[in-house]
Order: sequence, then C-alpha cells, then structure tokens
Amino acid sequence: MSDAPEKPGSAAPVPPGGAPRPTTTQPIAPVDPAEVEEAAFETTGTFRTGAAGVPLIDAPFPIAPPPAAPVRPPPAPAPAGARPTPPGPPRTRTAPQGTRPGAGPSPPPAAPGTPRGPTSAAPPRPPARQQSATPAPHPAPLGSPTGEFLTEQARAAGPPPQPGVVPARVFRPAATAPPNPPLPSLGVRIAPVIPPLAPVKAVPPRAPPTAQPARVPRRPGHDPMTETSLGIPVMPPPPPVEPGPLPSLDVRIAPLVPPVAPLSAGPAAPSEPEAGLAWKAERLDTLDYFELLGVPTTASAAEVKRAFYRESRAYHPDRFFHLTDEAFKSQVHEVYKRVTEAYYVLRDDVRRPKYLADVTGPDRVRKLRFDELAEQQTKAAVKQQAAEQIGLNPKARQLFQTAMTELEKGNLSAAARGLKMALTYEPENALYKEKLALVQERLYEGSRGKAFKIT
Amino acid sequence: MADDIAIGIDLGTSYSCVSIVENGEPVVLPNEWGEVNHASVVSFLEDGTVLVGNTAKRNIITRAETTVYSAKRLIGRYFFSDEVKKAMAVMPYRIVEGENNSVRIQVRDQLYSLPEISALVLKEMKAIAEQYLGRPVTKAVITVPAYFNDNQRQATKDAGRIAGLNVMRILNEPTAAALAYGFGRDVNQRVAIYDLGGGTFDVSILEIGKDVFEVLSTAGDTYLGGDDFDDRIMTWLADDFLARTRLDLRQSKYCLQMLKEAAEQAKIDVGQNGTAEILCQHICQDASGQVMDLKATLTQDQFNRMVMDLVQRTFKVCDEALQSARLTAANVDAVILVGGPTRLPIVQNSVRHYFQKEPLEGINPDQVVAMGAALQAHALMDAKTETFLVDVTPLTLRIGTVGGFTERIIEKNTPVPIDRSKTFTTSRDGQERVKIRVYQGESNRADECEMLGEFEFAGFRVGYRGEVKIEVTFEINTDGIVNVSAADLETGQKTSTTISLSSGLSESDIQRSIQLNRQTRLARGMVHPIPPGTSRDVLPELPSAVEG
Repeated sequence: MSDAPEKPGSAAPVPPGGAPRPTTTQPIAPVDPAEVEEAAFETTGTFRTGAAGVPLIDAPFPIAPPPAAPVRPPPAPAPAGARPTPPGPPRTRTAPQGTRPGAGPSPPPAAPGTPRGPTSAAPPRPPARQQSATPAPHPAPLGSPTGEFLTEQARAAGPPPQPGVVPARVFRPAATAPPNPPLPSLGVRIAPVIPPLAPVKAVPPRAPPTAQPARVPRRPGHDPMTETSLGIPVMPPPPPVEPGPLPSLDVRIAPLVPPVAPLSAGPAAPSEPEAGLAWKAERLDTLDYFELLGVPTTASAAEVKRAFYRESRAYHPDRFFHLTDEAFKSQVHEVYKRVTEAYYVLRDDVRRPKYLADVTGPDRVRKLRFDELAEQQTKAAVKQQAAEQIGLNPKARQLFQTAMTELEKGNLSAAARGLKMALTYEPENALYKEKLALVQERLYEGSRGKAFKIT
Repeated sequence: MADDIAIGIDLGTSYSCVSIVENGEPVVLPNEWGEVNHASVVSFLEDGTVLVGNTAKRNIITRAETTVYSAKRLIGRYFFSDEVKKAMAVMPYRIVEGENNSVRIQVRDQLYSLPEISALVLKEMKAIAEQYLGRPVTKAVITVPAYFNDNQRQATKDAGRIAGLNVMRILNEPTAAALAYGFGRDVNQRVAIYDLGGGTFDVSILEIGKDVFEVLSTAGDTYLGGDDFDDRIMTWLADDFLARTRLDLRQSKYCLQMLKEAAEQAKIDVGQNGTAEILCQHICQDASGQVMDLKATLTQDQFNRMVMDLVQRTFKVCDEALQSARLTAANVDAVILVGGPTRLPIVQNSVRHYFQKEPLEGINPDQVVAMGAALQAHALMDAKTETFLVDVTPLTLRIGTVGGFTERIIEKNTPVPIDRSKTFTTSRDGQERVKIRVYQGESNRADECEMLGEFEFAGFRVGYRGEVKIEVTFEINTDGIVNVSAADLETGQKTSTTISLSSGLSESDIQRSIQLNRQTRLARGMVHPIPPGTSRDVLPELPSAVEG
C-alpha cells in the first residue's frame, strides 16, 4: 500500500488523475476533466510523432485529435461527471478526499452539484431511481465506483477487479478516447452500464455481503472490467437527472455512506493506476486468468486479445521504466508476467477449454494457474482425442480408412466388413461403432428396397 | 542533464548505426566525416589505440591479423559451435578457445572476449553520439536479430555495459523497424518485416494495435545475408580467374579480401546500375612474378541467376514465419524492408511478388533499425510513454532430459515477460544438488539445440529420493533474457543457483573489461593504410592450381 500512495504522487499517471480531482469542484469539473484528457492526448500524439519517425510526422497529430474531439464533445458532460465520480472514491482514502467528504455533501444541493450530486450524493438518489430503473442492482458494483464500496466488495468478489482496473483506465481515458476505432463494442456496453450505476449507489449496503457470490456472476458479466474503463466517464450522465429530488435523499443516505467508506478506505487505493496495480499484485494468486484480463469466460479470441492489449497498456513494465522504485517495478513485472501468462493460455484453443474446466471445477483454488500438470493433461487429452478419432491401433486405423474409402465408393458391404474388422482390434472405439451402425442402416434400407423390387 | 538522453544503436554484423530522437524525430548521427553507417570493424593499431568504423574496414586487408570484423557472428557462442568453426576457417584474425568453452580473439598477445570487441564498436557509437551532442551519453537501447538466443542477448548486453552504457533494453531489430515506420497509431495491422542484413536474414510478423506491438512470430536464417551474395560473386570471379590463369585466388587471404571488396562493390553497382565493372588491379602475381589484374563485367541477369536460390531461401523462412503466425501472405497488411541488400531489384521484386504488396518506402533500410531503437529509448525515458512493445520469445526454451532429449518449457512466440515453473525431484537418497541444463531451439534433441547453460541448485532440504521437490522457475524478461531460479516446494526456501557452464562473462570479468575499455583510446583521424614496415610491393604469390 505504501507504494501505491507514493506512486500516485510521483508517477506519470498522476497528473491526469490528480488534475481531475481538484477540478472536480462541481461547476468546473466537467470542463476541466475534458481538457485534461485532451492534453494527455496531445502528449501522446507528440510522442507518437516521434514514433512515427520520418514518414508519419504529420499524421499523428491529425489522427489523434480528431477522434478525441468528436468523442469528447458528446460525452463531455458525462466525462466531466465521470471524472468526478472516480475522484469520489479517492476522497475517502487521501487527504483531498478528506476534504471532499465534507464538501461533498454541501455541494450536492448547489446547482452545479448536479454532476457532483451523483457521485457523492448518489446513494440517496438511487433509491428513487432504482425503482424506476431497477435493472441496475448488480451492475451497481461498477457504478458504486465510489471507491469505498467497490474496494470492499471487490476484495471479496468480482467487483474488486474493477477497482483495480479502474485505475488503469484512468490513464486510458486519454488513450481510450482515440481508441474508439478498436473498441466500438465498448461504447455499446457503456450505455447499458450507466443506468445500473445510479441504482447501484442505493445498493451499496448489500454489496459487501454478496461479495463472494458476486464473483461467479461477474465473470459472465465480464463486461464489468471493460465497462469500468468506459463506465467511468459514463457515470456522470445519470446525476444530472436527479439533482432536484436528491438533496433530501442525500441527507439520509449520507450517514450510511460514511461508514462504508472507512471500511474500504484502507484498500481504496485502486483508483490510481498504481493503486490498481497494488490491488492486483496483492490478489495475483486469487484471480483466475479471466478475472485478470477482465473478460468473461465466454469471451471470443478477439476480446481476449483486446483485453490483453488493454492490460498491456496499463501494466507493461516499459510504462514504468523511468521510475526508480525497484520494488514497485518488480511488482509491475510480476503482474504483467501473469497477464501475459493469462493471454498465453486463453488465446490457445487447446489450453483454454482445459483451463476453463479447471477453474470452474471444484479444484479452482489450486488451478488458477495453468501449470505443468495442466499442460501435461492437455497434451494427453489431445493425444487421446486424436486416438479416439482415428484409432489407437495401427491395424484398426488402416482397416477403418479402407472402410471409409469403400463407403465413399458406395460399397456398403465392404465398408461394413472393414469396420467390423477394425472393431475387433478396438472394440471400444465409438467412432467405429457409429460408422458401422450407419453403414448397416444403409445396408438394411438398401436390401429392403431390393426385396420389394424382387417381389 | 546527461541522463535525459538515450541513444539507439543498431549493432549490425557488418555495419552499425547510432540514432537519437531530436524534437520528436529520430535522427541518425554522422561521425566527423559525415558517415552514418559505420563498419562494425575493430582494428588494433600498433600504437595501442583502436580504430573502429569504415577506416578500420580498410585495414581488413593490410592488418588482417589485428583487425576483427563480423564479431556479431561469434558473440554469445560456444567454441565448439559450428558457427565458430566456420569463422575460424574464413576469418584472418585468430580465434582461440577460452575457459568454459568460450571464444576469444587473439590480437598480438592480448585475448579479447567477443563482448569486449563489440564493446569497442559500441564505444565508437557512443563517442559519435557524444561528439554530436557535446555531452556524455550513458543510456542506450541496442538491437539484436529477433533470432538471437539468450546467450547472444546476454553477451550483447554485457558489451553495452563494458562500453559504459546502461543498456535499457535489448530490442529485436524487426520490432525497431516497425517502430521507425510509425506503426502503432492505427487500428490493428499485420506487418511483415523482411530483414536481409549482411550476415543474417530474419522475418517477423507483427500485429500492431494502438500502442501495442505484438510479435506474432519470427523466423530466421543466421547463415543467409548480403555476404552470401558477395560470396556468389566471389566464387564466380575466382572460378573465372582460375579458368583463365590457373591461379586460385582463394589460396590467399589477401586476395580473398580484395575479391570480397570487389564483389561487394559489384553487388551494389549491379543493384543501382544494372551492370557492374569489376577491376582489381595487382591482385596477385604468378609464379614467374608477373603481376595480374582481375577484370570482369557482371550483368543484372547473371547476378540474378547467381543469387536466385538465396532469395528463394528467404521465402522459405517467410513461409515458416507466416505458418507460425497462422497467416498467409495475403493477410499481411504491409511489408517493411530492412538491410542494405533489400535495395537490390531482385529482392524487391521477389518480395513484391511473394506478399503481393508494394513494400513500404521512405526510410533508408540501413538506418531504419537504429531509428526505431532511438524511438524506443526515447519512449523508455519518457514518463508519458504510451507505446509498449509486447514482444515474444523467438526460440523454445527447453531443459535437458535423459538420453540427450529435451522437454519444452516455454514455447516459441510466447509473449514476454513470462515465467513458467517445473517441479523436479531428487533421484537419490540424501541428494544435495540438482543439475539442469537449459537449451533453446526447436528440436527435441539436445544436440540440435543451443545450450544456454547448466544450472546447479543446492541448499534445499536433504531427504529420501523423490521426497524433496524443487520448483524451478524459468523466466524470460522483456529483453528476451532467461533467468532461472529454484525454490524448495515444501519450505519455500530459495535455493542457491550456480551456472556451471555458460558462454557468458562473470561479473569480475565484466568489471575488468569495463576498466580495459575505459582505458582504450579510440583512434581518431586517418590512419596510414599500410602498417609501418610493410612493403606494398610484396604481393601474394599463388601456386599454380593442380592441372586436371
């Protein structure tokens, strides 16, 4: 933990994260965040220009800005709000947060508070909203984003990953904005997420208890991770709606929130990238590969790849190369090594099903990593499968193959003979049996037809 | 402020290049004579100074015994390897065996390790950069062929240290090339990097998403490059000369070197002009003392026929790389050419035909790698870095098992960094140490793979056989360098690891070399081409070839 706090201060990412918070003041917040993000873009753009090298010098700039600009404007309100939300969690943990809590409540009432309201006052509103927008409950964890809840829940259950992830996203927003092209799907997801968030806030109380069970559902929902990244910016929108009614609610809820916050406060760090890292590093041995990459177990190869790229952007050791804190760097290294390991297994058509079976089975705890044993079992399984398909016994295999060619030629009786012979070598071979049954059926039908003719 | 600049170095087999990022753009640095490609040749002069670069290259003939070139072919190799045997037959300098099967170069009475030789080239690159910038440089990214194994990478890194450089990253050359072409901004693209250098051929397939470079596969042929093209021309010239004069120029290293230079020039001329006039005056004298010249004309067509099979071989390697990435040539979105020989029309046409695509142009193929290295160096120094390289290990990591076989630990083309563990157990009661040999290569036979080293673990608890379990962790880091560590599975106690066989240098060796390197003065300015006391009139006298 000690590392995490330090990092935020010293690390590159800090500026983006840090900047938003201060700006968070209700009125300004919206604008500033956007600006900050854009600034980040520009820097990236410049860098890239460098990368572009000779040919691409001009290109980078034009390219980067355009995407950002278009994207930003529409969401602008949202991002602004979004930004505030993330800060929300931080409040609890850091000094700034401390100030926040106090400020938080009061602001909501104010007009500007609207954006704010959601974050800080969010809990109160949700109740009202919830009823109308019920669906939100589970997604809530994401929305709850207020660091406190999440962290707590997260720890126990799936939600945790998000907190961890969220920090990473923090940088990403800048990066993400342009990403539009790659992440079309994300945009889609986000929309749905938002509604849930509002309700979520109301939910917070229950979240803690559910923590453990939560995990399982999560994975299917996998989106959480992806959503989170996007989700953050999204969150703001809901707030504007509720400004009026919320004030009163806030009051009631406020008490509830504080208690929760303290709990999570300790671990809360996740909102910063570094914190997310610490969070992930701590749980490295309790997350399965899907959770680590933040994908559902049903994720397609493309989704796995996208998730891996996303995690690479957040945790690649190169990003922290300029830092001097060796302990922190080795932590990054450990986390990233596991990320590549996850990708290595999940991208593989053979290993992945085996791994999935392992982690969803009773032995999950011991099979979170695809170890040597799993590797061997996979190899054996592949071999066996091949054997089942064409046969283990060379003689049987040969007979089976001739039978198949006979079958193709239409010599049913020859095929049946061959298959019967093959079965004498391998009486248990399901494939042989199946084929034989098929051939015999056709033989029978054929003979019936003939019999009819003759009569 | 010396810390805020990092250089990128393309340490090539025949030529090296150094580059920095200035105002966001990579710039290849010239030396005081304006040359940007520096021959990777180290010539030890009589006065104790060392000459590196294109001027040193001229000494290959006249100071053959004290001029070392193509050191990259030998770096990180065992003395018993085929590559070293081959080099011993060809190289005019003395290659001797050092301790632990290592390779040493003997220059006069002094023995040099390969990293020390390469360090001198790096020292020159560093000096060029320092002269250009007017301040000291201590950080660098150095490129190596994607196909380099752990020994070679480690040795290259050692060379950097010896030259007084903090090697931030050992970068794969194809990856550097892709960086230089500015990929990484767009939506996913698959890029093939066709790198035909002086001594080696590599092809890599990269998938480049936004800010992430993933090497899908790499394949290569370490015995295929521009030098082989030169060899074909040399063979043709020598055979021709033999037929006409019954003198075999290959009998003399001096003639051979002249032939080689002529062949290299002819290759370049053929590529540029479609035909080459070859003239080597006074190449030798026959038994009667008559001085002979070598004259020939090489046409494009002749040349193409000479090297067609070499070019075809590159595409076998391309097939391999594509297959390994599970792609076909049609799936590749762009092709990048790297290396001087890719300027040859025959190479360009063949590449175009194979990939059905126009190769990218715009950056000098000799410099593209150095520029990419500079960009990577810049990115590593930059707190706001947004580009990350997800690289893969090019070779399968294996451990030796009984009967001279090996078992896979980490497959090739696995993204790095990664670690993998394997559990070993003792085979005797009371066993105190466990020894494992680590290999890299694609064969399951140990003798067909490259041995990285032999690791010995001790310090675990002693017990009955099969009872003590030792978990050995193999890690490949972002430089592609392998680390091995072991722990007692039950107690979690780390065991001590010693490397009992390795081609690498020990820490004390490196410290000594750093001292030596620091004391070595680089020769500056022109050096008289003829060593003192040598008469230019003494030409090699060749025996007549046996008549047949």
